[in-house]
Amino acid sequence: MSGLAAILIVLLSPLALAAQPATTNYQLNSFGFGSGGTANSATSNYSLEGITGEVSGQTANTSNYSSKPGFIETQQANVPKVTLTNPSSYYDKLKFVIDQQNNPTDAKYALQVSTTSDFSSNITYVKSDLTLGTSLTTADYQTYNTWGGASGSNMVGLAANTTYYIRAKATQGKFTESGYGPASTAATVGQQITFCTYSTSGSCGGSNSVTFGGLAANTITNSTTNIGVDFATNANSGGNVYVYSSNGGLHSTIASFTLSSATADLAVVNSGFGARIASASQSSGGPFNKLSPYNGSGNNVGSLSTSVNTILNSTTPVTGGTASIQLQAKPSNTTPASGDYADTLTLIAAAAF
Amino acid sequence: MKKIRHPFNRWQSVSLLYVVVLLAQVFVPFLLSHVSAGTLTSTYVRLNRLSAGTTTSFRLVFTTASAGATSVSVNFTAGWASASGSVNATQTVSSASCAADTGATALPGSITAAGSSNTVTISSVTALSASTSYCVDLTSASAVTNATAGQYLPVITAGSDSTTVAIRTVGSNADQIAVSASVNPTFTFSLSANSAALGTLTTANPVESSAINGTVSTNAPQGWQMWAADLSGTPGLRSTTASKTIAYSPAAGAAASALSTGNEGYNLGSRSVSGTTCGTPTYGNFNSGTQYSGSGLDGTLRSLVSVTGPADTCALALRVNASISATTPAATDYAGTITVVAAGRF
Repeated sequence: MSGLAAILIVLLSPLALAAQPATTNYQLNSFGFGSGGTANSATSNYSLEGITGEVSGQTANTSNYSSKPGFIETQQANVPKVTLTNPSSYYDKLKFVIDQQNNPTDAKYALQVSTTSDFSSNITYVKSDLTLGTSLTTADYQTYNTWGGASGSNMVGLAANTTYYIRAKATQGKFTESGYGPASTAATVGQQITFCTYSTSGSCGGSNSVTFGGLAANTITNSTTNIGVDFATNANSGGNVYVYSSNGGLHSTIASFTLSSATADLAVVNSGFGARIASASQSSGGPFNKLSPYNGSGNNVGSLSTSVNTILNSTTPVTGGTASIQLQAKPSNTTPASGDYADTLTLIAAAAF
Repeated sequence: MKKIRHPFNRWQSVSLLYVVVLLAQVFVPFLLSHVSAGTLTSTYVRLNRLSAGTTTSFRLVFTTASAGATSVSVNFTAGWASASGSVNATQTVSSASCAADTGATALPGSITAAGSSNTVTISSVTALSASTSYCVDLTSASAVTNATAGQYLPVITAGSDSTTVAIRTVGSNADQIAVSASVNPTFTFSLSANSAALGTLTTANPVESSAINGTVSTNAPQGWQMWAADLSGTPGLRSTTASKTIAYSPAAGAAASALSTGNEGYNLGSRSVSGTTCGTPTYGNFNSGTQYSGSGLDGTLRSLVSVTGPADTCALALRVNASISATTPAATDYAGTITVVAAGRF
């Protein structure tokens, strides 16, 4: 006979006894006396237990506590706690972690969410698929481990720039569901993207010019400064940085000649102009990746064409993404002499939400 | 037996009809096709210029949640307009090239686009599939005018699905890097050897030296030229011991001709230029394809070849030729010096 069954069967006086009745292995923690009652009377959808004449379920509250009289409440699961956070500038999700409060491992938890601190309106529940729904079903009661355990889980599909409140209740079978525990709150932020490009002789907002100086025939020359790129986004799918050229190469109006850009190893070809990413890094998330053909080493450069090409990317949110892009040029023996070789590179960025 | 009537049949009928009507009002909406709003994912707007105040085309890529959308819109929102941004009423749209770039599906249909207020709307879209990535380009260079530098939150809508994205504009032309360089005039010239050994001359036949290549590289846009001269006091192949000079044959300035067996003579000959880039040559009197053929030199620089356009390792092969007669004095010190120079025309 289980301990729970022993408690249900015994109907004793509601007057407290000096010592709890006990056997070797079981102890009655709560019992009451009445003129009768029922244990687990059931229909197809409902079950009932109770002692006639015993008040049950009516709460008494202070600012921090509420209590319910009656032996039924003593068999309830421990009221759980839950913590809600926004650990990484989320705009459409928030992370929750349940505190079991010593409930057994088979206890199940339900999570109620609201955008009002007193849960007076906008009530939803975290569904088993971690979205929010307006109805709470038995499938939405899940164990601590299923809800992510100590790591928690993210509830998704949230609105940006919104404060959410969450609270949890626990159950461990019939007649054991606790009340909701204390609420925790966190807010989503808005969708974000930052981007800046500059000459590395300066910083974001500074110089936007890069020079080579004099180019010697048949000699590979690096730009005197690199192109800097700063990029960050909280977009779930990260984002891309792109580059394209006005001239497809270094163009001289005086000489009517373009030192064309192409993807190549400048050490091998007769002449050329292109870019390679000297470095790329991030503070968190990402990674902020160099992309082919701009990820070469040595004198392997990628083409700077008039078509838009992706040069850097992150497939996840990234913070503090930064890169340095080196330009290299090699005129041939026959590249006309002129002082007005020039190109305009456009760098743009987009983030995928 | 009294026939039992049912005095409420008519009322029951009316009540039943009433209930049916009520139930129909409740359930018919659910019996019809019910589309629930979803969230577009992996969605971005790529402005092709980010510079504030600049007009630009842009690309849209998005992934649907639901099926059935037949129009797509990009609402740049009032915030864009209040920051001096705008949407052009006239739009051109294409999905011809974006698929290859993005891997998404080209937005299908005989699509058209128009701008109104802050929104670009793409119409005549063939009903989209659920959970599918699509792309489209608004190709007009003035599709939108960028707002002042900052972040903006356009709303993308495809049928019942929508999402908000973030885009960023930067200061005027702060999305561009100006690159500058200069290329210096260059000219290089070299001879592959500085001596031509003729060996022992006999009356059996003239002798031809191995080729010596004069090689030029230059970016001189007008081309280059190579000359030769014999700057010694007595031009020709001279022996101090025998006090004898084998004179140039033909004389300096004459057209190329070949030395003959048993007749004294000495000349310089050249072949055609060859190399990576050689332009168009005009040869002097020394050029001939015939063995032992050439022309004479004196103290005047005479053109070996003149070439239009720049050169990249362009070489002119030079050969020294000599012949003796039966009366040419014997000696081992016959020698001569030929000076070869070149220059680029800038």
